[in-house]
Amino acid sequence: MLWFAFLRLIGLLTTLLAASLVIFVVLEVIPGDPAEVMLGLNVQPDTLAALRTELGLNAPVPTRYVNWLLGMLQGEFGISYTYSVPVSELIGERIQVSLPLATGALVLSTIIAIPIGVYSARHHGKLIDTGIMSVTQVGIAIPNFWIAILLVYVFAIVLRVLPAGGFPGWDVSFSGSLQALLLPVIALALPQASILARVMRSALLDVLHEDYIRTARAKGLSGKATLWRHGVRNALIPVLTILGLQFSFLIAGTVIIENLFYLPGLGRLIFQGITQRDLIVVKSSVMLLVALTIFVTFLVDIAYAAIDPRLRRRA
Amino acid sequence: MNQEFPSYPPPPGFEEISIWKKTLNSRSFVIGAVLTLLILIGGGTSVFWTPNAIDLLDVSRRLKPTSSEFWFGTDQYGRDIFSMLMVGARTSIIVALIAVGIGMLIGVPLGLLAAAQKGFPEELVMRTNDLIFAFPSLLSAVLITSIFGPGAINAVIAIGIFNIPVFARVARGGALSLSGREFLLAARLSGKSPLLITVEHVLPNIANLLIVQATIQLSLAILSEAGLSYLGLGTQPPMASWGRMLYEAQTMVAFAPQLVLYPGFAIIFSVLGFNLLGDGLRDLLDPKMRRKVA
Amino acid sequence: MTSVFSATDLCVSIAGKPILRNVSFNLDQGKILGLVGESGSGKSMSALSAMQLLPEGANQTGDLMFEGKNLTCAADTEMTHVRGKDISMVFQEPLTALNPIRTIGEQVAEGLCWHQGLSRKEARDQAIDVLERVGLGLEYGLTDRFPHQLSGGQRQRVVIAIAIACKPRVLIADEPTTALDVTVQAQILTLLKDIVCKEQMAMLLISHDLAVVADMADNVAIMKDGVIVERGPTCELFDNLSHPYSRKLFAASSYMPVPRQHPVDEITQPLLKVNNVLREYPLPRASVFARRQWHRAVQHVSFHIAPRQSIGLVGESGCGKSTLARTILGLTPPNAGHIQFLGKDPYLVSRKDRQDLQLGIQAVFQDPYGSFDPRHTVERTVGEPLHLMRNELSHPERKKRVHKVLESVGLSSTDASKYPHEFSGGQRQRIAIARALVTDPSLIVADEPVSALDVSIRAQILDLFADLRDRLGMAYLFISHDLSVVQAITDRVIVMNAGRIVEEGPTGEVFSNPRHPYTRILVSAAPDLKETLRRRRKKENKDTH
Repeated sequence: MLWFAFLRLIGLLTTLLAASLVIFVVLEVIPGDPAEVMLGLNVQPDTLAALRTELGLNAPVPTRYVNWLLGMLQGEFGISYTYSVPVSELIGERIQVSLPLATGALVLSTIIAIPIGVYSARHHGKLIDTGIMSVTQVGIAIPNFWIAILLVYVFAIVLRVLPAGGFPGWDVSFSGSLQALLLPVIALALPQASILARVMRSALLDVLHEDYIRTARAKGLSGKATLWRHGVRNALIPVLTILGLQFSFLIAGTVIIENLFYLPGLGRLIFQGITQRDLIVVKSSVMLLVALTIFVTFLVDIAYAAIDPRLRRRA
Repeated sequence: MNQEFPSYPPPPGFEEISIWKKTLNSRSFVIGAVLTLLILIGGGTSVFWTPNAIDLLDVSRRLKPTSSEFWFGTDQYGRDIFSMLMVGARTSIIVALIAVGIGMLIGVPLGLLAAAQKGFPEELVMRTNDLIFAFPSLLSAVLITSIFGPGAINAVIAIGIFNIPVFARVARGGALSLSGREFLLAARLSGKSPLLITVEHVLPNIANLLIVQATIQLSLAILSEAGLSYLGLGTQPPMASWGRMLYEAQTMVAFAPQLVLYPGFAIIFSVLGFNLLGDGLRDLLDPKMRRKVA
Repeated sequence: MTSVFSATDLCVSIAGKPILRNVSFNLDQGKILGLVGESGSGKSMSALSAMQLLPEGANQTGDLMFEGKNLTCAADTEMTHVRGKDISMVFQEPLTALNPIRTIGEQVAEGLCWHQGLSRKEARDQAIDVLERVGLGLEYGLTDRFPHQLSGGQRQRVVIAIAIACKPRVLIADEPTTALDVTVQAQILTLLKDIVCKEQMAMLLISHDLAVVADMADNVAIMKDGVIVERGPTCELFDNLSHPYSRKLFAASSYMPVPRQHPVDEITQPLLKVNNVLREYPLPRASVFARRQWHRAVQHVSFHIAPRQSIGLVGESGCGKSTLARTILGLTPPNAGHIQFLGKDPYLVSRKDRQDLQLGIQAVFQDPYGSFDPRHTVERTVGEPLHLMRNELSHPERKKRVHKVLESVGLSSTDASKYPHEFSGGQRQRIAIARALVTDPSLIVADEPVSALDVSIRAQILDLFADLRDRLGMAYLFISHDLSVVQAITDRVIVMNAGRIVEEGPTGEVFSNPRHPYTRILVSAAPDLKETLRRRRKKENKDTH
């Protein structure tokens, strides 16, 4: 198990390094002169020169890459061009919104999806199963930002019970912040829950056709006991894979949803970074999100091995 | 003896009558095909005809209700919603087809290579896959846009890149599941090169898998395109796109909620269409894979 | 004596298709009833029906009585108190029958917890006792291991342990040894016999193998198409078979093709020379610092095959026989040593020469389903090796050749345009043979060519092999785990164990007078129908006198 985790850790570090290289090349090498991109056309030559010095663009490319990496290791992500504050401060503030949003959506979708999937599989072939499957089929097809707009319309404009957007900040109003996150979390979670419920159901149905389920029944276990003791736990293996894959979609989802609800999160930071051509902000926050995705994949791999003993030996 | 062997689907063209019957009996296939066809027809027609021009802004006819002239009414700029939906269908389908095409053309050969060449090539392909998986299409789009500015091409490239590892995985998985089969050994005993074996035996036998995956990826690509256009990173006006329409309708939701509904339903119908088509195809092509979802 | 368990007039149908028709049997205390039949005869369904574990959508009528209790109308909740406690079952495939992510101990203890309300700790202690009863007592720490860490035989012992944990009165075993090697099969059968005898259970033993049933069972029922066609006490029944199907089955089970009249003389110039071949595979490293270990699949093997000679290669799974076959076929190069076919080493010559060599050596594989591309017609499949001749043959010539070989294996040329799934298992194996014959090879390597076939079809295919050998005069390398198959068709035999050749000699001599201890174990473990019956009759005669 330790050996397995060690190998995965090496894999994690290589992927991280490769990802950072990709981001660096796209943002700093391909455009030629990042300073020109940031300032746009019709710029005074001395302004350009000043920015280049500020960004350290006069150093050779490999040095800049290494400096960027070393900086990030020390928690220094550079200074935002538009906000004139350290990017690390910006990220630190914004992550207080994005992290609860993403984890909230993940937890909510899992809580909804697993019982529904199990229930549907237990009633396989019956009307209720067909009904649940039809609803989830449509649920997958709904874009989360469309649900979000409808939720805003119903709860903020017609019923006026929840805010349509904005975020008061955790220290200003805790309950206000929770309320502000409620609709975004629901909008993100519903389509995810549809996918997860379908995966749970089909994984469970697959497992229920395995020989060892018959063995458990032959032992005398009732259908229900067999389902929980041998079915659900084994079916969680494929569900976990999907959960890991979904995380990257969830990140994309938060970017959209944060913009829609005017939430000051990482996604909005990135988006503002693009419109203001603040490459320093874009570079660091994209790197952070990519690192997060890679790390979640790593965790899923480890969890996988914890559930399935057959994987522990294999590298 | 008592061993059970997997059953294979009949080859194409065989048992034609029963296949047609089965096809028509498959509810998801029929619904999916009809929805997809509607979207295709709508998008296709928009190339040479729409009920009204969509690039004409005329505030005097803004927010008109449904009428014989404007089937679904007009938006806040006075543009005909039905015409915009038709053009939006075209945008979605073109972006999705090209993006999935890129993913297949690059991903499938990579996956087959990884399955055939153990060791370094396999490792390289799989690690690259992991790397690309860490860049959701939205983040790639963010990177591309921040350098080259927004545009539909960005959406195509970003979604296409994300599709590469998906197809590489499916192709590799399919090829590996065939790898123990004795007909591949027989082909090698016939002196055929790995490339020829891949073309003659492996590819036809994983074609079903790839087709089914492609329909699923098409639906995902439509969703991604809508998301990117909604953020303003994808299709730019005056070209219409469903995501963009939603973005514009959002500000009007208090006064004209119907503006939100039309593009939303268009997205849902097309994604649902491709998903159902994929499910139906999977059931028809390979009964063993029933019940699994993307 | 009253029966512990009886089934009367069992009828089962699935989706309107009848699977069992009026099947009745009784299981008596301490006795074994053997149920034999070929695949699809409904014997597994009988077992599941007795357990009330039929697949969804199955319709069952008839009576099941257990110790005077009628189980037919028992609700599933009632059955959960019977299954595992009073009636238990052992399954065919021990790997899939065990949950891969639960430890052995947990899985054995589970039934004890369920039926006897034991705590986890108590159940665990009892599970260790149960594992001891099935001969796994000495395996230290076994309870904490997972199924994939055990050997096939150990796994089947665990499955038996699960079944007998609560000391049931009735044990149903569905092909309990089919997935196992012969030597392991013998051990498991002995274990089952001991348990039935010691704990006075009633047992239903289901098997396709007449020899296994003849050895184990007190009474035998023969099944065909969902009907029991004949039944009786074992020796009596086999001595006076009356139903034509049972006679056919019996004949096929002990069938041997007519031996060749003139065995081939050793010729000075061998067709194939295998010289000191070594083939090894890397194993995954145990830890970062451990040195890489290698698994030696084939270790310094040498032998040769003369033209027209039939050589048998026997050994249990994992002994390296299939790896050796692939090396000979030119598919995996040896790590050391060399192969010479017609005086040339296929791994050293040019691509063109290699293709020419390949024309002379072709193969027939085990799986009659997996060895064809489901999307290619028979003509394309059978004609595939002609690729080796590059473009020497025109299209009509190719076609003619394919039709000719199809006819020579007993198929018709009209079959050429069909797809593999339209044929039965036996016909498919004929197609596979046709494909091997199409290049007119001088050596055919047949890797377990009849293992996946029912006995009656196996007899036909063996006949075909013998007939082709006499007619066309090619040499065979016949690989099998089944001694009777090798005995039937070969002149010489090679016995392999753990990658090495342990014995080699003329077939008759090796089997009648094995010299190496491993060969002796193998020969004595192999079930032989006639030999078993002879032994039983002798014993019964002794008992009556």
